[in-house]
Amino acid sequence: MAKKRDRLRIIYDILKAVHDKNNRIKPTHILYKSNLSHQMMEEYLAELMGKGFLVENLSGDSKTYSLTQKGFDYLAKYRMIAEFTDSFGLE
Amino acid sequence: MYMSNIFIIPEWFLGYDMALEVIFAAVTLLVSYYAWKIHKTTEERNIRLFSMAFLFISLSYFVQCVLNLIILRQLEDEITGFIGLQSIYHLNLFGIYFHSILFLIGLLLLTYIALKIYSLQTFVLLFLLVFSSLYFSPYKTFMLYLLSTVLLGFIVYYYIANYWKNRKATTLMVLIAMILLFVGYLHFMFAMDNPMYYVVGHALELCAYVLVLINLLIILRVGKQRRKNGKKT
Repeated sequence: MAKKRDRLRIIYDILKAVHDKNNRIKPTHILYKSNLSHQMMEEYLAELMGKGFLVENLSGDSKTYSLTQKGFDYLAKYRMIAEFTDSFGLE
Repeated sequence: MYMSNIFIIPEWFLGYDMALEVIFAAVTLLVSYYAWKIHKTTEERNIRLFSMAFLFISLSYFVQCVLNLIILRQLEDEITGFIGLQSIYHLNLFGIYFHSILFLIGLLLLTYIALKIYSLQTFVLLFLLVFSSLYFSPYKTFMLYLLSTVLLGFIVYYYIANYWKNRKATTLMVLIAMILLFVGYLHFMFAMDNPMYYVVGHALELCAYVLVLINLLIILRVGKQRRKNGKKT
């Protein structure tokens, strides 16, 4: 059975998806890349914007998301974060 | 006989125990600091609680070390009169209580994380149960170590599950460290009967914190490798 992704990994996958699309991504691409349900994705996006990892850009009818500096920091430190939280059981 | 009397620390061990407490305080403070840094990056609540738990544990060792240092100084000044010995006795007792209360708060926070029920009521209930049983117990010192041992037992169970789920060297190291702390505190419970248990307890704690430190160094090395790889690409 596949291992369940933990919260921090899901956040990493979303931020990585934004990063890999030249830091400007549409919600549909996030949905595809993050492998989440629409509702879950919306909850995560709201949380990530609330915590200051992502910003929403509105131009006309289209909506895109970009990483903030905090989002870039998260991506850069993810392996260390994952090691720390795994070993101390802080998922 | 009330068991709230002080431990009989072997004379040769005086001074060594303080050095060990400085090491324990430093290691736990390092863990708390890095957990806080990770919390600043992730904004995760349980990482913040973990950082606070280790800060309390670090403070508990720091307090114990400072008070033991004061006691040792007083003994060196040869205040051997009744009043002097009484004040040393009370200072030692105060040191044990203050250390254990801070340590218990740290363990309560770790237990709260392990329960994974994030509600203030749960924490308040745990807090009241632990400190009311401590307050009403006539055997306070024994009760302090009994409560610490029980909480550590629960934390060990949590880390067994964590290792089972994620089998790698770092999770195993943390599990062994927690088991050593648990066994160390079992020894402290009996230190009033035999002072050697106090020494063995400290030795086990040292092994536990060395493992925690090695684990932390491995984690930091992973972080540095990642940054180096990032610069290359």
